[in-house]
Amino acid sequence: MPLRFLKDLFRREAGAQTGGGEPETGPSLTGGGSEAGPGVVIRRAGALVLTTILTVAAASLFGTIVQSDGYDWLDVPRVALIAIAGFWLAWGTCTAVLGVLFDPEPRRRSANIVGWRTAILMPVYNESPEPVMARLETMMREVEPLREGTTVEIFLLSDSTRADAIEAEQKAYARLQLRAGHLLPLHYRHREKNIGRKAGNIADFVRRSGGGYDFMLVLDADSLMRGDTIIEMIRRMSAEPRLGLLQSLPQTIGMKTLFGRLLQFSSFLYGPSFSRGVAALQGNAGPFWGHNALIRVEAFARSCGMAPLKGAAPFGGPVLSHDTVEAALLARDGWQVRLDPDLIGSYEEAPANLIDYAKRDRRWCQGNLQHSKVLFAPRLKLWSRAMIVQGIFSYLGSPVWLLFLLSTLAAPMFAMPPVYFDARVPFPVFPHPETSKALALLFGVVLLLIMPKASLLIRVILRGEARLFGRRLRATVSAILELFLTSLFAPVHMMFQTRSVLQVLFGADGGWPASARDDGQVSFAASLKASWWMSVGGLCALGYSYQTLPDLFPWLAPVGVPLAIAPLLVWMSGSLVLGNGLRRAGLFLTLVDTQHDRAVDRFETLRATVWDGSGAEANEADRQAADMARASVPSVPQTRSEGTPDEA
Amino acid sequence: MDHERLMPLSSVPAISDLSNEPTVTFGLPDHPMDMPDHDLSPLPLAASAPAQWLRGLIGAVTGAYGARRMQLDIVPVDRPHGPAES
Repeated sequence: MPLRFLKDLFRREAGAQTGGGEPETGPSLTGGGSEAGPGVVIRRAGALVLTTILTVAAASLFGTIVQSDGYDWLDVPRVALIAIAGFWLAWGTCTAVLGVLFDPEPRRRSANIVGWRTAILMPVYNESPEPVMARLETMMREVEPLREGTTVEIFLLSDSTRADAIEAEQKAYARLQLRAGHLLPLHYRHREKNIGRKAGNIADFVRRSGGGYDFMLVLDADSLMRGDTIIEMIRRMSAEPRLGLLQSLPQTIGMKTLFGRLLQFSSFLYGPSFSRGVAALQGNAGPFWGHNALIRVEAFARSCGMAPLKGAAPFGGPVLSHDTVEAALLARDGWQVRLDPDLIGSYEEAPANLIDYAKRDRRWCQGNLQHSKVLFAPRLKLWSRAMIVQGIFSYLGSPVWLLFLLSTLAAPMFAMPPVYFDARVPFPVFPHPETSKALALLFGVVLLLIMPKASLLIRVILRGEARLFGRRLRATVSAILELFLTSLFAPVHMMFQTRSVLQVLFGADGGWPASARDDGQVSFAASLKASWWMSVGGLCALGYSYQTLPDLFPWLAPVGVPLAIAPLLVWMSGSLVLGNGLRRAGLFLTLVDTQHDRAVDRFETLRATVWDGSGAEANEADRQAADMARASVPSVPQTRSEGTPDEA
Repeated sequence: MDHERLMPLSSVPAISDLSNEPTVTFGLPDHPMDMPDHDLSPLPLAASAPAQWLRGLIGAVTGAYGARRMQLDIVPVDRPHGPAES
């Protein structure tokens, strides 16, 4: 078995990564497809060895520190906890460093994409329709002039359950049909019962209409993609018959609050490099992040149907976080799943404050923990299983850190009193002070946290890309401020995640207050309601440490103080004043601020002038504009489509 | 696509036309495709790779032991054949 694991991990096949040797048929469905090229093998082995060395070093150093006052039973779980937490920290660092060192090779692409049929899918669920339609109209206007004879059709796939939301989105659909229906075919479908949620929504499309399309571009309701990026994805997928899924690099836009600006800045400064690190290790079993990805419909239909998991919720039932599982199922059947980090011009929005972020995290937490039931599904690639474990530990990491902190606070209570006068030694024996080793460990952990970001910043500066972030000085100050703020927010995030894990394990409801306003701001009362328990915990820990373990106080303060002021931090995270102020000061700037992106600008214009929330119904101006547009568009012969759309 | 391009404005569905059928569609192409559901349950432990490996190991050991026993059994034994002499 271990031999088989190693063989699976390091399996290679000529041409798998280089794109050489185009197979004439689709991949085999036996699960015996290629896993990784030689470069990937070396990178995976290197990352694994380095991570293991760092973990063993951290655990042994910590073991030395805790034995200075004699071993007690609590030291064993403490060393185990630091080893587990350290492993994932080191793994993240190795991935980020790979992103600095690794540049993906150029990808194959088709010059001629005539005849390929692509469906752009926009699933919606009780969304406000205006921004959604503004995004769709932007993409339709972006794609239409670039499509060079390839068929592109738009699908608005509604799973909405509220009557007002359904009515609003259908009015908005009719208006969008008037405004842009002459550019690309636009279809609408509403399901009465949202069985299987988003995965069920997409599967319903495939079963009804999938036979008419080669590829489908799966979006989220907050997705926006540039036309040239969409066309480039079609070119790449049409050139590689084994490519089952192509993931672009979604970056965050449209954020105005402090927390939102922070996320947006991180996604532009660190996202590309970190994604290059992920791509360096992916082989043919790359990630799928659920949206802004092009999928081969046939591959998806054959491989990605998922029966509900056996057992009761939260682990049984329909697969909630379907994306990771779909990527694993495609790879299992020999299809290539690939993240191309150079596919920029792909955007999404993000939670505007810590509460919204925690709410989203609560859903993702349940989905990822549910993957423990998929982990041992038959025939999955070992790398896919590793990705599933990584997803699970991205949530279990928080309770592990918290347990480590609590056990460290409790450890002195179990420590044996020092023995100064040992009968076997003729002179007094004093405990070995291990302060230097403790400082070395702390330095190492901080280095693991800071090094990836620092190296990515240096890379950006050396490559002359700092101008995209407001030039070198502003980029550096922004990066330092981002590090400081994320360090402040991290303990709050740890507590929210730990609570989510416990809620999932015990089947409890999220119980979030309806707090955030549309603009992302949070009132102080809502902040207090969401995080008072962290303040109590943080103050108790600090007070206990100050009274009984004063030596530990400085070590605990970086975690305890942010917890004690958690309501203030949560309130700050949703502050528009701080977010806009930093922007005016030239901090947290990104490409969409400094260079302007045509698609983003077009979206914002449409959002402000047409889809401005004053009503989604078509007006006379829309009708006149539509009449003029239709009169000016010549008829284009059908290319490869097997039939014309029918009105239902 | 031509169908959509040439479709007169009057054919854009009005909101009042919406029915209350389980699924509401406007212009949805009918291209059904088979999408089978896969069972993601892990294989039974007995069918898993470690169990098969262990079973093979046990089989090899017991097989070797059995062969050895058979070897011992076919060693000629100096005993009388035929009906026992009374």
